Amino acid sequence: MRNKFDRELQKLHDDVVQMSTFIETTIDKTMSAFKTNDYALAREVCENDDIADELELKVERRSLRILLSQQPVARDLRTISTALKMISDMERICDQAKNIAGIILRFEGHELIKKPDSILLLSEKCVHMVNKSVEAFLNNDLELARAVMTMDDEVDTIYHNIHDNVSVLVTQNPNNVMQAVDFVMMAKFLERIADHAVNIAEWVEFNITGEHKNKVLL
Amino acid sequence: MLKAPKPLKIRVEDMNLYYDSFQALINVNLDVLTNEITAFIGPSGCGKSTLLKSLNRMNDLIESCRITGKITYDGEDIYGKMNVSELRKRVGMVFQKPNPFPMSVYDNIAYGPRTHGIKKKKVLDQIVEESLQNAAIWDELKDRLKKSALAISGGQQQRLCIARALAIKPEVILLDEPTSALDPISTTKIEDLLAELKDRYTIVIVTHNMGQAARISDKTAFFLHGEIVEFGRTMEIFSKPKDKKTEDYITGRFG
Repeated sequence: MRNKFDRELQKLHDDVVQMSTFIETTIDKTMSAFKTNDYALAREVCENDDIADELELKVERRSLRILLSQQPVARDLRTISTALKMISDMERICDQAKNIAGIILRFEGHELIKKPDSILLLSEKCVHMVNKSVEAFLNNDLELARAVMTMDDEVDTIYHNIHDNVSVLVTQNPNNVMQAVDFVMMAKFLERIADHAVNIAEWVEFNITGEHKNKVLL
Repeated sequence: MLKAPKPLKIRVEDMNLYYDSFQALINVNLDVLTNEITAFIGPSGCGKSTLLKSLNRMNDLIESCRITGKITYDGEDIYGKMNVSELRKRVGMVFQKPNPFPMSVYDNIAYGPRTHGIKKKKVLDQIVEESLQNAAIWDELKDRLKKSALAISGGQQQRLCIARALAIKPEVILLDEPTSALDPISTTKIEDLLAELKDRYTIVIVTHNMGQAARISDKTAFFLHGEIVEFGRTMEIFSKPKDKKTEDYITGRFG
């Protein structure tokens, strides 16, 4: 009865899956470039930024076409609005990854001070949050989406610790100041990635329950 | 901030309706609030038109029809002591196919008031103009009042029928698929009209057009096999229905 509509929804789902796979790969590559000082990999992240924009556009186009032609309601309406909102956060995650990769490239050819352990910890937490928010979307997993939302507090705490630790680095040796500032910025970008993961999780919750941040939208 | 609920106009309580041994409505409960548009949706034969007709006792004409339970209008039992013509004066009805009387535009509107004893031309003139104004069709018909109502377009005929219903100054207007025989422009005009009228009237509409229910109504009731499966705020029904059957019907998975 609604074969065409169902096919279009399936394609939309596939497009969002493609984009989520892309962002997961992107932040994996970014953090791996950071850990191993792999500047070629960091460059690749910067160069691939256009792909995220293209994937976002693809989902936008398909969503708008479905809204126009099918006038969806109920679950269909929620699925399409969720896709449209989620991809903005996914695209922003890629932007932040690109910013981090840009910082990594600034280290190239310079003697590196020891990377604060807490940054590595922060990056692991953020990658985990992104993976789990995407997983919650793919499996329609409300519990997992809500778990992602609670992870953000921990990320904020780690971020504030990095902020404090870096000032110690600078006090120890003023020559560290440039890299120290870069670490703080990197931590800020990571913290933003975690925020976007929370946003994705909140839209997953809307998709399932019809409520967004405990508010009924319609 | 929560808005204060609107006053209750019609209450249907534990209502069952039978045509001989066939039960067309099963244990129906529903509140229609003043100055709201309430939409009835559901597949053909689900009972929505039957309930609509019960609200001004149109089923009285069907001999085999038997009703249990209660329908109250402003608290008064409409199947009790209430006079049927008095009820129908307060609860007007518009049908699926425009059904103007085979007489002039003017006489179509004046017919009701005349049967209620109004004879003065000046008063009738005023009622005709007001009713046509209220049905947003005065400008189109003011120069054709003496023409046959059968000679105007289907969309105009339907608004004329709404004007005719308004002429006896009802409080409630029942509409049974009023736009299903009309083109999109006429449909839009009627929808705009209903949105305007709801500030002064209480409206109940049966529609097969889901988009129409979503566009114009405040509350929606979904009927299936004679029962109300779900009744609630239209925005809620169309974004997060509680019942899977409602979800399946409005998304076109069955029906």
